[in-house]
Amino acid sequence: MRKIILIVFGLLILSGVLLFLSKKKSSPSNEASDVVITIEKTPPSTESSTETLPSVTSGQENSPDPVPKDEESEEYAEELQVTLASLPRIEDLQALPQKDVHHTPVALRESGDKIAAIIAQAESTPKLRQETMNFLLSCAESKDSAKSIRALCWNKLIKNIPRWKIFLPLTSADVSQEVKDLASRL
Amino acid sequence: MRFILTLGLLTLSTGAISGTNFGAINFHSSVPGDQVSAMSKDLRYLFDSPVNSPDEEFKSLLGISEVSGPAMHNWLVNRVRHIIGESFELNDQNIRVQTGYIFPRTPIPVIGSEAGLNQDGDNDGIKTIMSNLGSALYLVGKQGVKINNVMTPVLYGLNLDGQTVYATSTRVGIIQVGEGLFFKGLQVSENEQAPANSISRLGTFFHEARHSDGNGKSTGFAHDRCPITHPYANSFACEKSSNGSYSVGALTLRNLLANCTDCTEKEKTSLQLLVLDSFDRILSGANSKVRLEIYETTKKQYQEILMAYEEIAPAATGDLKTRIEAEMKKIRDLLALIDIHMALLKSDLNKVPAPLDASPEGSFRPVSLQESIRAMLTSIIQ
Repeated sequence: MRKIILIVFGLLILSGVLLFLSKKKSSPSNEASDVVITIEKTPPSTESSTETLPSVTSGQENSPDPVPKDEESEEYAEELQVTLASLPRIEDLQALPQKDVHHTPVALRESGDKIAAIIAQAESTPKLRQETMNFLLSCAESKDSAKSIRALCWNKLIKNIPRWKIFLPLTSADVSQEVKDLASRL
Repeated sequence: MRFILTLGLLTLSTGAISGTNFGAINFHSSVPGDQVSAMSKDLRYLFDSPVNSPDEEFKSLLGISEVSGPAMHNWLVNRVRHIIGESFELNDQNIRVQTGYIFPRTPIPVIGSEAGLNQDGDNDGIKTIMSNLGSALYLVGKQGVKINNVMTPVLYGLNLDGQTVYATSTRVGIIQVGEGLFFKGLQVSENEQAPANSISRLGTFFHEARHSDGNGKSTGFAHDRCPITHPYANSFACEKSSNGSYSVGALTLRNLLANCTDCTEKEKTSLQLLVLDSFDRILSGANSKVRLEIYETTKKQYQEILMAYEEIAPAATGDLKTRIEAEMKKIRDLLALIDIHMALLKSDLNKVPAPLDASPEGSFRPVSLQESIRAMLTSIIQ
């Protein structure tokens, strides 16, 4: 009987310790750390192999709420997917008559505005930056899109990695040298 | 009285005004008043444009001694002298013809709307943006008309508010501006007064101005057909030369953008796509100097990324840490490769692909820098 009481008592203490430890683990310990590590899923890319992209984001940059809320993040990722799908494809632009393409066509101008709006939103809302970077990578990799759009996305990706301190494996990105060179002309 | 006042205000805001001049450029009475105001503002912006980071490629392309507001304005007014509105019609009333004029005995390039010199009007609800009519008139006149089965050159001119302006050179600089240039859907900023909108329109102006250059086969800097894989495949919306209208437009935008202190990041991104769209139409590829700049830019960008990763790697753990470190190694390898390419390029910096001769042909009177500065200052005071 005494043994049973001791075992039950021991189990209670053990579960208490475990509970304490698990609470500590899930509490926002980020506050004390300089860097927050986030691992999340990339929205499906239009053509290249979709890989789970791990990201490291600076806690200083993203404070006070550096970790994106899953639901909110997913919703935003879906919005970005819609935007990505709305960007004019090469074949859309090829269908335009001569007189509409002498100067930059409206469809292309509009996509510049859309990309600009997405970046501006991520600039003011740090928790959207990871999804924004994933969007920019998908956009740069999208072989159906005009080179100018892809180059703009690549340029923004390259420029914002150091600014936003977000890790993306750029060297394995499926982006042609032509697109990268065009992006460097800005 | 109220009726007269209303009528007066309507004329002032939307109606045509009699021919006017701003900064050495004549605006025909067919240009609506609000468009004259917007373009005058654009010219003033160009003239006053601060140049804190001069673009050497732009300077070399335009052939100007320094990148400054007055110098850019002078370059423009030597190629854009008369602006006519969309409603201006090329009919018997407006066209003047003179025979016996002797054109230079130089080859004639491909001309017409296909070559991108003369844009069609508003057929499908798409508004005209801008076209270089002077250049087209010069070339059509030089090509001539069949008289007794013999092609005879004729000198075309336009009646512009009672004054006949003959196209004796592409430098006659008659530019037709359409509603498309001011169409809200094409504005970079919703704020009509924003400098970003002026920069966007000035890019178009400089593009069209380049069509006032060239001689012989390069007269008018006609566009080339875009290749089959290009977004504008089969349209004459590309150029093989490295110094044509798309180069001028792209570098003008890039230069004005780099020096714009009042542009928002959003506006800058929108304008950047216009720059890229123009660069993407240049088929000749970049010359060695530009390639070197591309490598330098790429190197700087990867170095910044490397620094960022060096900063965040220590906090990463496990597989992620391994991946960041692997990426850093790849970037270092890439930087070493860039250095090798740069060293090779430096040994051959004079390789320039296919620039066309930009010197103009025909008879025209150049506008000196002093003249254009004086004209602009007079317009500002008025």
